[in-house]
Amino acid sequence: MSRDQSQLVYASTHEWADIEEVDGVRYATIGVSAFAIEQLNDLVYMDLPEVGREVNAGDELGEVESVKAVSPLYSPVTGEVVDVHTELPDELEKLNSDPYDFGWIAKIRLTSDVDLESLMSFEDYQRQCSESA
Amino acid sequence: MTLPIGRLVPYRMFSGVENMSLDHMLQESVDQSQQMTLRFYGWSKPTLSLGYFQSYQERNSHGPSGSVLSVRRSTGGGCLVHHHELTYSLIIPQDLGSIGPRLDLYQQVHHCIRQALKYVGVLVKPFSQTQGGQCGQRNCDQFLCFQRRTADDLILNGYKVVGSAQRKSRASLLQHGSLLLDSSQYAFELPGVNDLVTHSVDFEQIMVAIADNLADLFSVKLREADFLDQEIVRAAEIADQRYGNERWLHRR
Repeated sequence: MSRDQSQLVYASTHEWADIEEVDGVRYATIGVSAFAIEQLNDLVYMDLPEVGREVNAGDELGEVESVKAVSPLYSPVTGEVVDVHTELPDELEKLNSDPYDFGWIAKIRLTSDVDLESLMSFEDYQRQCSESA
Repeated sequence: MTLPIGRLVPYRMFSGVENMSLDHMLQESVDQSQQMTLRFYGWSKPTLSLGYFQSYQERNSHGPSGSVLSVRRSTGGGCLVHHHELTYSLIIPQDLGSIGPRLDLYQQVHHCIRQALKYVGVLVKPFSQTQGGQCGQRNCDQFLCFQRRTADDLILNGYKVVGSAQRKSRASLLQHGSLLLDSSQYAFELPGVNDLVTHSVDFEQIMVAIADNLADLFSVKLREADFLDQEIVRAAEIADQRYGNERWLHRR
């Protein structure tokens, strides 16, 4: 099943989150938007977070390198990292063509809903991107 | 019109661990102050610096630098042997929402360095304007950064003499880079500017010209301000936690 980017929520730092509920527990699958991947330009390295790590919204979740520049990726939500996409750092070229499915980075079990309110809808995020482009 | 004040940290030599810790501390400082900061420095001992994502094991592939101290940078790119060089770091405020490399900054800062070199009679070109650049010969698999090529690296007589790398934080961007002055016995395959020109070059003059050009570029008035005692203390903490720490060096 492919993710519909218009149904995701977005951080101002360009991470998307797909929120789902399983057996009463809420999870967010996290990735980086197509706009950001285009800006990152020729990604060569990515660091993933460790499973079990507790993160707050806005904390660094990982890092990427492109054209000799290291940039942090931030967590858009608060919770515990329960899964990471270990194949992704070795197949970064696939991010360009498939940022919302193959491009997932981590899955986080939410421990707080508070930060979700500050995330943007697809329309608001598109507006931010067009203003910064 | 009154120009905003930028900070110029005067040239001094430090060890590799100190240099990386001081750059890191300055970036933390700019995150708070939002004041453009420029620093020039040298290396008190020859030092090999690894790019942030490079494997420590890779250094074994370069025999001549095997005996020198090493440090891992926070910026990307390949390995450098810092010996006879002028290093700069520039930290500018940057929005949290911006992402990825600032290619324009590589281009603009290198243009300022290019103009400064021209002022002392050294004519360099961006790699993209050289024959190799137009053929796309980037040598990305080379161990030493100065044997690799990106579009805005500055080239003199076919040799790279200026290269830079970046690190983004929450509210600022650090770009630091090296101008090779003379070749080193630890990386003898890389000539410096002095090895490639026939006249003597005054590097004090180059530093002043680079600072002037960058002040114009960012529309600031640079005011010299050396490190404060509390900044040295903070840099020492960063050195303990990161750049002087074996776990950091061997993390990959």
